[in-house]
Amino acid sequence: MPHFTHPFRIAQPTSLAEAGRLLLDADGGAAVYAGGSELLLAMKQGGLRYETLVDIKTIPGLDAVTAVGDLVSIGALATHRSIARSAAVRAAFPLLANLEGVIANPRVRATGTLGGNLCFAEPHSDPATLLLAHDAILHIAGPLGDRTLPIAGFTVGSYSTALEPGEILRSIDVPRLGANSLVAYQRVQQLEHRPMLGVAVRLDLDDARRVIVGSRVAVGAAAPQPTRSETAEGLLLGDVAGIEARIAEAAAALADAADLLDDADGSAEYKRHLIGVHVRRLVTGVLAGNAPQIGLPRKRRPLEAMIGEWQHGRERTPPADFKIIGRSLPRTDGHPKVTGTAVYTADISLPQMAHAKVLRSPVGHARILSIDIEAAKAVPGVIDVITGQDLLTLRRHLFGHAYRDNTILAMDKVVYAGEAVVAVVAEDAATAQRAAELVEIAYDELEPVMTPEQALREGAPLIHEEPHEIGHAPGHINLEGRAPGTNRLTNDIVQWGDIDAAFAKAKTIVEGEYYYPMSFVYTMEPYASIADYRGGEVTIHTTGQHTYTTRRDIADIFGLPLSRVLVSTPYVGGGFGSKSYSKVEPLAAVCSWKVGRPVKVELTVEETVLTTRALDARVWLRTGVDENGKLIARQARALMNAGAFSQNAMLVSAKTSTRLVGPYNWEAVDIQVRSAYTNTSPGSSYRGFGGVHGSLPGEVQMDETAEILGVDPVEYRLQNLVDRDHEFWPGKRPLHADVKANLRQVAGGIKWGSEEPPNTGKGVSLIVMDSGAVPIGRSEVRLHGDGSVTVLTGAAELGQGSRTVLAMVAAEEFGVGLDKVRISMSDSRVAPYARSTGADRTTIMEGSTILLACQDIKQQMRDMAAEIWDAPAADMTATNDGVQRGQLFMPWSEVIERYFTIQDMEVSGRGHIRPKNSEWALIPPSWENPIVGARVEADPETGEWWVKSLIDIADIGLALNPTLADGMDTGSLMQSLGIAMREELIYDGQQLSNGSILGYRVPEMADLPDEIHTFVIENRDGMGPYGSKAHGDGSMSVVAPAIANALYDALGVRLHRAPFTPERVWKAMKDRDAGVNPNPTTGIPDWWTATEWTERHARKPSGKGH
Amino acid sequence: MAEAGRAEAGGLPDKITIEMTVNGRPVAMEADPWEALSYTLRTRLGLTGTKISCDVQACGACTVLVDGLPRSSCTYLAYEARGKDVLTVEGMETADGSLSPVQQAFIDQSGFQCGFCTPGMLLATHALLTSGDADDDDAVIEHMSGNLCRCTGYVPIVAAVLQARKAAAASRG
Repeated sequence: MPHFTHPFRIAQPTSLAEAGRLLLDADGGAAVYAGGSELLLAMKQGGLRYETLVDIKTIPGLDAVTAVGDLVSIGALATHRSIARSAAVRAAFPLLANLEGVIANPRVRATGTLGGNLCFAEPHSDPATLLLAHDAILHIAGPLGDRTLPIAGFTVGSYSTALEPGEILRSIDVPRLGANSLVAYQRVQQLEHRPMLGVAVRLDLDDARRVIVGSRVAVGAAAPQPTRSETAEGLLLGDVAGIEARIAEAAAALADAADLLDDADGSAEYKRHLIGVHVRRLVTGVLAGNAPQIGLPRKRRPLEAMIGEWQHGRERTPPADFKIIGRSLPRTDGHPKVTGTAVYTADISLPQMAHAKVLRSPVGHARILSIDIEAAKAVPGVIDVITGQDLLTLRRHLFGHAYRDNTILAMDKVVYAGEAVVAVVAEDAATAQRAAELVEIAYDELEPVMTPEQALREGAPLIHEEPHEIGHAPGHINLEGRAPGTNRLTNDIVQWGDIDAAFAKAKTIVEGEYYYPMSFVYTMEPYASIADYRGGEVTIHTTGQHTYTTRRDIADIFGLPLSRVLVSTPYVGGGFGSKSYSKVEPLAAVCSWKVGRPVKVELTVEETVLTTRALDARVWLRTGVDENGKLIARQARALMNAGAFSQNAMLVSAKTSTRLVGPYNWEAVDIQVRSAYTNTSPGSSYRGFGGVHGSLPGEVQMDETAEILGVDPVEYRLQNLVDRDHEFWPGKRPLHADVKANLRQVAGGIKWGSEEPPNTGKGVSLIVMDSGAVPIGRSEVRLHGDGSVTVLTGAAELGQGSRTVLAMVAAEEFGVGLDKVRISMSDSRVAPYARSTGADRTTIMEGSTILLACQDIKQQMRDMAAEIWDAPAADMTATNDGVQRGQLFMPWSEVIERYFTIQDMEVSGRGHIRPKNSEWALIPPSWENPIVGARVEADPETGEWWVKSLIDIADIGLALNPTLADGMDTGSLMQSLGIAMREELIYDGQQLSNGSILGYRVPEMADLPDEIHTFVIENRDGMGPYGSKAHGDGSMSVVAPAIANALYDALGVRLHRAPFTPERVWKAMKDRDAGVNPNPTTGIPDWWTATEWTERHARKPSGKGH
Repeated sequence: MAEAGRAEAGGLPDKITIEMTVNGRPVAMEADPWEALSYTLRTRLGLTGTKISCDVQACGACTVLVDGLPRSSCTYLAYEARGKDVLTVEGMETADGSLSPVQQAFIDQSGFQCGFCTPGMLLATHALLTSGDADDDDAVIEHMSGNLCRCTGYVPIVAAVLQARKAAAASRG
């Protein structure tokens, strides 16, 4: 919400004395407001509330930074930016200047102050730690007079300082260092985020620089407050020679002194280990004159070199047989997107529009005993307060395309913490939010089930007690896995061959357990919808990827005909599957229905995570190899956490089962995946639908198998991969790709087989995935009398460039420039039905329908020209510019004008595809075969690692627009790298503990490898326009296992659990050194067999295909 | 608590008069003291180019420049902009209406996909090029890492920043 929820006022004193009086008078209701970067953040997040902020920036002189004699005085209001750039600080304390130059981000540094930072005493903040090593002195103004305090006595705990009521920090004095004093500082962090650890060391040497006569060591950001250890400092004193022997003990003393926290950043044990490493590196480094510098975590290659290579990789000769296709034309949405005029849902305002905010359940599983809305209703500006009971008069109060299990507002019970329970509609969002907080709900808590293991144990509490109606679009989803009377949602099976016989003859069997984490897509744009239900019809503007499934969801809720539900999707700020199917559209619609006005629902990112997340997978995998080293059998069991509502979890679970197969020549396959309802945020699609859930186990185990057999991992894959045109999956479309050639190209790209420096390694990973979803689509094209073209398609522009690429198809067909082609937005008011925008289907399927519509027009034009020329239609040939008859030629515009006798007439064409009785009958419509090669460099002491190279392949038949095609891969490589590095949603009991961008940290520019590019393979061997194949997921599905394999090459540790955080890598190294077997499983694990009882409740197969 | 505060905070104004320059034009209004600049821009002035994503100053989508420095408008109080120059994406075009070199670079390098981070990226790039730090690659990475993008994988954005850096150097002569 672009506003603070709770009002406050601003006081602007002109002196510290006046400011102090204001604070005292307010008796806790006021806070000092300096830069505000931490205070306002905490107030916005709801943790802090004040009636008055005392803005001390109006007091003159508090922001000066001045060198005075033997110290530098930093005014409390000096910003991080000004300190980092201060000549006085740079000269005297370059390290402090450098640290201030990397605090948070440039925006925070321009606003936030060092004084504010110290007074807020956020435990993960680290300037105080470095200032401890400097013996900084704080000057404090107060009602009883001024006083000074050493910084060591200032921070007394987490968010707690020694400031008395009414006292205000005035300045920070940093004493100059002697010529023989050395200071070093290490922060362990992801750039732009709060560090997880800061270690400061200062050594004062004698004039001969042989003896340490004074020292300071401090640790911060890892404990409630920054901490010095006098014991550690004492241990460092003495001769420089031989200090190595004393460092470990000093580091241990420092770690002992700090109350190290076990938290989301890492365990206390790991932090203790890091303190040991960094104290040693700092002490030895600073004595040797090569202490670590503050800034980027490693030296990068020059950016020009990286970009030059990337651009070179994209260069190619445009295909000679096209004029538009195959060219990297600029995107048609470029101008609106760089000028701020592109309209997204949240940018839309309608006359009389009201705003809704929801109150969410604080508990995971409970019956609702009562809801008291009176106080909320009485708040001025509130229009209505809506509960689940208000929805009982609707045709349906639940929605869902597979099962109708998704509440709009909770009915008699809540099934996860974060479920929407009450909606408040008000004149503005802040009022709605404040009023929502006044609603009182009494809950009777039930036992929660948080994991599939808990949910699928016999006797587990039922999350959905009544069976749910099957949704309107179960489509190709397998509904038979649902076991009524249990929490089991799916049970997907892929089997062929005789698995027992295959394992019986296997000479080598490899098995292991793997885990891919629960994640969050984080599109930059959170969910938002505006609904206007009036006059018997409802108009919806939304961020959804599936305009037309939402139309049906809304029609079903109200019992409206499809023609009276008008859904419009303007520009979407990223989808990646997370905006597929309906999210907040039903809520906006029922609010508008209830109040009779347009209503906007705009979720925060925190609410977005609580609406939909992505699934995890716990996988046991076993591979069998015959006496010749040939792969023969693959067996897997997997459990997935579907969350409280099914959303699209059923398809993700089904796709995980197919994506566990792997593109190898198996004699027998036996894969089973179950997902369960739990009391967690609903799980749904994320780019690749289970691809990486399958490839992480599959491709790590490929490397493990190759190692046992003593074969090179790339060579081993080449020996076992399926060949082009081979029907490797019985009954499905033969493989239209040369995966072996593609793997060779990627291996060459990372110089597979070449020597690497120590602690650097390479890995590859691949998968073959069925893409394209259901082959259904329709488009309409209009050719106007002036030769320009209008394309009507329901495909949504999520950023993937569909509006550009689809327009290029029509431009090519009618020989016009892109500027003459106008393409519709995804809008059911004007554009024909589109099943969805997802599964990499838009270019190949909507593109094919546009091509067909263009051909339809050309056929009509031939007939029209035949009449004009009074000649048989068979003599007419439609070119891309007009109609040809022997030597005669008539351009499109002339055909239209002469036929209709008017210039501005038009000819419209239609095209559709369907799975029945057509070339699209064979599934999948397209195979994708992403392959990634990775080079990583690791720190063998800390477990930190960095990607040097990330190279992939896009085997896409034909790149209709190479720059856009390549852009899908670059984006996908970096997006998936996030989950290899650090992304993981974590539940702490019933609550999501890191469901915000401060806690869930996605990749940033600093995470870029030194080398990143894509080989685009164009063999025109696909079903899409001009031979194109499905594209868009890119290499999302194979980055994590490639990194795991590269880390093994670098460090000799197998990582089976993503993300591969430094702590996990470190732990794996410790286990390796202790001789712990990373693969302890033998046979199908107990966590799977404990769920077998659900088979007794399973639905009987209907006997029909789906 | 907040309602009670109205009495306790007696004497302090309900509204603050803000006179500022937005995209080169003077603007005057009465605003709430607790109003975030992003709200003022998007809701009062209709400048919806400034986007709200994380809303906690971590993602950079709401970046605007105040007196040339980048700010997270989600947590920057509107009254603080009194007497200052605010630049949003809507004000980046040059006086003759053509795209600025930074905007043109993002188009040329396809430095965006969904476009939601783009206004913030453009302004962050603009701020970088005037900071004096842009020649240092590490400073480029550090500065731009404050703005998140989920679509492009950052590479085309780096390419756009480098193109804009060259253009800026050329125009300095």
